[in-house]
Amino acid sequence: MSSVTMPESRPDRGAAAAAEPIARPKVPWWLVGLAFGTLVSGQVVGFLTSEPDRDMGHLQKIMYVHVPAAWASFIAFFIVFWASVTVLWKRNERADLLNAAAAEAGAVLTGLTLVLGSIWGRPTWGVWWTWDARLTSTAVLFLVFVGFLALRALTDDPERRARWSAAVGILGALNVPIVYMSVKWWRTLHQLQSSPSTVDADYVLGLRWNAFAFAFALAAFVTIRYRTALFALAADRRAEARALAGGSTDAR
Amino acid sequence: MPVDGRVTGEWPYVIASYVVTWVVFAAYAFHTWRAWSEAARSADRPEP
Amino acid sequence: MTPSTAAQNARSRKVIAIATVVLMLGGFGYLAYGGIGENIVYFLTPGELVKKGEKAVERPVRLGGQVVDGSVVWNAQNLDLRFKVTDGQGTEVLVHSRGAPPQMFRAGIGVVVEGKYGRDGVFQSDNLMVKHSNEYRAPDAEAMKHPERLNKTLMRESRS
Repeated sequence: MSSVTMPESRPDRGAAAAAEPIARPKVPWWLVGLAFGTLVSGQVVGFLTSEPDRDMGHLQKIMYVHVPAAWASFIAFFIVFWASVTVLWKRNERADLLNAAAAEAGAVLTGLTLVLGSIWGRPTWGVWWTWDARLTSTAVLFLVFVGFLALRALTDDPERRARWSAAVGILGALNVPIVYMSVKWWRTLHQLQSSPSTVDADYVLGLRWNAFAFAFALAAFVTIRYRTALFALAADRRAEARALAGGSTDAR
Repeated sequence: MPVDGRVTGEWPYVIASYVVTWVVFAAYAFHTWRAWSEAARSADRPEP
Repeated sequence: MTPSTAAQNARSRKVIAIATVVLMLGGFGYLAYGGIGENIVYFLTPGELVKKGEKAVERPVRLGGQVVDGSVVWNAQNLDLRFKVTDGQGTEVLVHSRGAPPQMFRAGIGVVVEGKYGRDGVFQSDNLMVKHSNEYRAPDAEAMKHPERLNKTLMRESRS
């Protein structure tokens, strides 16, 4: 990848880069605060406004964490798709770091979706798990992105790592519409997508509030993970420059 | 036990789902903080 | 960090990563053979089950539909449950199940049962699952006046 500038490709900057201090990136504390605030308030509002559902009683409240977790993971994988295409098309190194940050957050949220769905399924459906198309395709989505992260840990060459990640990222992201449409395309135990016409107004308020809260949390995590990766990369570059400049063993 | 569709004993499941959510967020936040401080450590390492 | 511990770290990281990839491939294999293959058609409707005739008899299969009003016979002493499942298009199948059903089970709700369709025309269920619709309603008077809305969404799902 042409944009991966190894120190040796810029001998003129070697000594200067070795001495350069690394600017500390900003933590978006306002975003962290917004995510935390909306999460807490969303759950309070969800609990206060939701009467027990006529079929599942208080179990309906699990909707406010299960559904937002799933939606937020979809947003994360949309970022993965965009970043992956950018990596392959523009050979952009920063897009690879964004790709990794979004894929990691998406994997965490998909795992959370599966666990919460299982906790919801046991008392309502009567089973923790069943191999219907929605659950199976979500499990596949989760495994693809666990594989994505394992692949990154396994590959040391940044150029190959970026390309393979992008390939897996695109494949994984293409699974998202399958997961979303699975309840329409195939018969499942999982119900169809809900819409404001099938969900009482009180529940819609809590669901929307929590969906925004999860989206803010996703944005905070992805931003910080991405900036951390940039930060770590700059430190690595400097260590390499130092090693080249001074022949030091501190080349980590 | 009657078979009438009436659901009881929901709270353990509801509480478990919220606890799991917060535990996952907290664990991920910890992971994020650790990666950050590791990057900061290597950025602050003085020139040998 | 000395070079030897760095190398050790890199090696243990690789071991963990390879183990994850192997687990993942195993997971895919299991999904491909145990999961997806037979489950694209997750359940048969009563009409489809009956139409399949001999091919569906005494084989593990899933049957999905709506519990017929007034068909539920529950014996709380020996946990014996009998009810009829309908596809809403005139075909009903009698289901026999042992053990307590999920709490949400009642006449009129959607169910998916795993088991075998017997030669006697009774479906012997090993596993009874409740299929909830995508409707979430507070139990107010207005919603209770329109139970047919619930039935409508349920039947749309089991027809598709």
